[in-house]
Amino acid sequence: MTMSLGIRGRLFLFAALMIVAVVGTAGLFVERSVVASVRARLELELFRHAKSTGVLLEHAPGEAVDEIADRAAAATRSEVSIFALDGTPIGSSTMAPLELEQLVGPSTDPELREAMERERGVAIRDDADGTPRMFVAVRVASPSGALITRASARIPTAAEAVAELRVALAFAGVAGLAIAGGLLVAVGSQVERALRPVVSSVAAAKLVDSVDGDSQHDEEGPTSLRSVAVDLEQAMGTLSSERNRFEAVLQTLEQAVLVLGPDDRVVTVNRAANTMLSLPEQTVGRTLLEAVRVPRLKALAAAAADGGTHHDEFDLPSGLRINVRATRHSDEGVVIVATDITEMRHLERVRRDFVANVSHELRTPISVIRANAETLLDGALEDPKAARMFVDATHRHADRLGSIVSDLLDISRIEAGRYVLNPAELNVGEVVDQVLDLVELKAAEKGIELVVSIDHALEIHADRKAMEHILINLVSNAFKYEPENGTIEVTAHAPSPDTVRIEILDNGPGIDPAHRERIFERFFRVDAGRSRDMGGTGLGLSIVKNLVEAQGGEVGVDPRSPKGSVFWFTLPAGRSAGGMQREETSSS
Amino acid sequence: MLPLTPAFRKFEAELASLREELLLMAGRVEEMIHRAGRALVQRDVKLARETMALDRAVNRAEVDIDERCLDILSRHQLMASDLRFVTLAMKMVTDLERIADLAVNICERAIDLSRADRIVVHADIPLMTSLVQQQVAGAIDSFVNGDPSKAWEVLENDDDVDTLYHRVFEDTLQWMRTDSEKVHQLIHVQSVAKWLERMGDHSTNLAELVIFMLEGRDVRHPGRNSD
Repeated sequence: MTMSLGIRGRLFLFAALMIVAVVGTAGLFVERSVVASVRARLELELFRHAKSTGVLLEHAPGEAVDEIADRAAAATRSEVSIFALDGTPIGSSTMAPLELEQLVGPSTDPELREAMERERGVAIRDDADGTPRMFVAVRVASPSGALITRASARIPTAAEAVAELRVALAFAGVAGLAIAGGLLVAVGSQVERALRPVVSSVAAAKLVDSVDGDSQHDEEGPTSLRSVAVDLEQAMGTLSSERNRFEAVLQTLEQAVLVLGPDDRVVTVNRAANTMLSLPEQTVGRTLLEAVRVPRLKALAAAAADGGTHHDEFDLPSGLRINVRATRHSDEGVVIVATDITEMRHLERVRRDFVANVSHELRTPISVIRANAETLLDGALEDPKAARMFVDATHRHADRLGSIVSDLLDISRIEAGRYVLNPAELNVGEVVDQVLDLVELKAAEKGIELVVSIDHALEIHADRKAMEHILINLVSNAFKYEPENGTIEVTAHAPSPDTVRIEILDNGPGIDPAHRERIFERFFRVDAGRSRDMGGTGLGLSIVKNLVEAQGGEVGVDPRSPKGSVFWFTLPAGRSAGGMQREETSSS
Repeated sequence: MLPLTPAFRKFEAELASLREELLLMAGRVEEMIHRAGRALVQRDVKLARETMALDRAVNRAEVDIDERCLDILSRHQLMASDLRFVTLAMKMVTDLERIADLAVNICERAIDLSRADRIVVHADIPLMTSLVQQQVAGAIDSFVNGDPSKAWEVLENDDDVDTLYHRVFEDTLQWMRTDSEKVHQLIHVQSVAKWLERMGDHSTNLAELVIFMLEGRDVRHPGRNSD
């Protein structure tokens, strides 16, 4: 049969075991020292008795010595004997005077000899029935000269000495148990009273939650500590799983969440907040400013602490743009939720610029064509020289319109994944040479020198048409900005075994750092009037970016010192890449 | 442990509030560096003007923190770390205010340069701005976290800011030789680089003060006793 104990029962059992263990161990250790202490005390008492007998002898001159011994024995409850200095017994509480007279010669007991020599002697020996006795003899003065008085008593056995102690220990144990029991009853009632509301709410929650209901439990009511413990355990379990669920949701949110307590210190923070706001390692417990030194965030939290929900949008020192909402929560603290809108704002700007640019780019040639057609209709047709000029202009702008539409279609095809790419192993030097052949004449006219510095064994894995398209656009771009008699360089190298990097270097005016990120956007122009004059559609670099990225490469522009730009792109190296190897072979 | 007396609690609250105000001022200064750099590179006149307006709040904070420190010093017998903190706060605000003034200077140049046909900001200026921003943030982080290692890093990294400054200086000089029309604008660029370098120096001052507060040793001007 298994017997279950309540919390109070268990506490009492624990206390009882502790008391028994302490009392038992103390009994063992104390027994030995008690025996020694009892003997020392007995010796001291007997010494005093012997001395007292001496005092009686001194102050009762003329009284019979034997009677004094009897009196002293009665007063001290020990056996008292009186001896002459040579050891001859002259009085004893245990013998009548006649019996004393019958004794022959002085006694040779060791304590007497010791007392004769050193004024005091102690000896222990068994008496007639075998019980150990202690004898203490003292030399004393009396009106008839020096005498020796001796007191003796039975030494209590160890058991006798400890018996008293055992009784005391047992009494202490029982008293301890009684106090422990009393305290448990008192504390138990207090705890039960304190826990009653908790238990009631747990029980109430159970009533609401349970469909079938545990009627027996509800009827009994939360009266015992055991049921309190069970209910609390369940409540803690529920709370813990709720907390885990909340934590999981909080940590997987893309928004940064920061919860402040009423003292403006961080209470909770999620992973996104750590990254977005670049929080230090230990954020919980710090003030908001210690965690994030962004004055606008602090101002928002302060406004929310006064009530209501407040919004703001601003840049962080890291460059991220965030939209923040701060609300006061029920515990007088503030919940801050921040969303990273950097990319969204960038895309909005790109879309806005694209719509503005595309309408502008299309409207310009259309306006010119319409104006020319109107002029021709208004009579210019009759003048063959003027008519030819207007038709030429119309043709030129129709071509431009055609190029823009064709470029736009190319971009949309690439973006939609409908630009068919047939990657193959291409020799970089060969493709570059072919593309540069196309612009050679134009370069000669402008006095521009084309310099190619490419390891002719370098190969890429790319679509030939796309590669040509990329190179033509980049070289044409360099041409537009290269001053007369300048030099355009095309170089290629393999920064890693898997990648080939091709660079087009010009000596143009360069690109502002602020424009570098945007230069590959559709219709983005650093200097709109100038590039339009040069016949650009504003889509060339965007096509380059799309074509390079569609083939798994990257594209960018770096400044060239002291001036000019380096447009670069990377493409995957050819599978037979081993430029170095082949170079070695060709040189051998 | 002895219970805290109301007077002691009030004193602790005063120190905590001073610390918060100092952090708020530092946050504003960090924001000004970031925005000044962006205004310059993006030729954003509106942003430059907004950033210059922030300087007023920084100036107010400097005066306010100074007054609060003097008030605390006059009313309390400060010892050890508390004393170091209050004196440090008084010195830190001076450096922070100077950094904010330099950011205002950069904003003024950003407005001037935005009128030019083409901006000629050296490629290393944004890098310098970001490095200086990190240096100031490093010194303040070290103060917030009570971690002197970050402050020591700031002292070590100051050379990087100096190296960038010298590079910008040499490049712009070279550019001036080849393009005399841009000399006026390039002088502005050189000034911006110089102010960024000065901001770097102020951030090392901050780091030295933080080391003094945390480690109790003065690391300013090493070798000054050997003269």
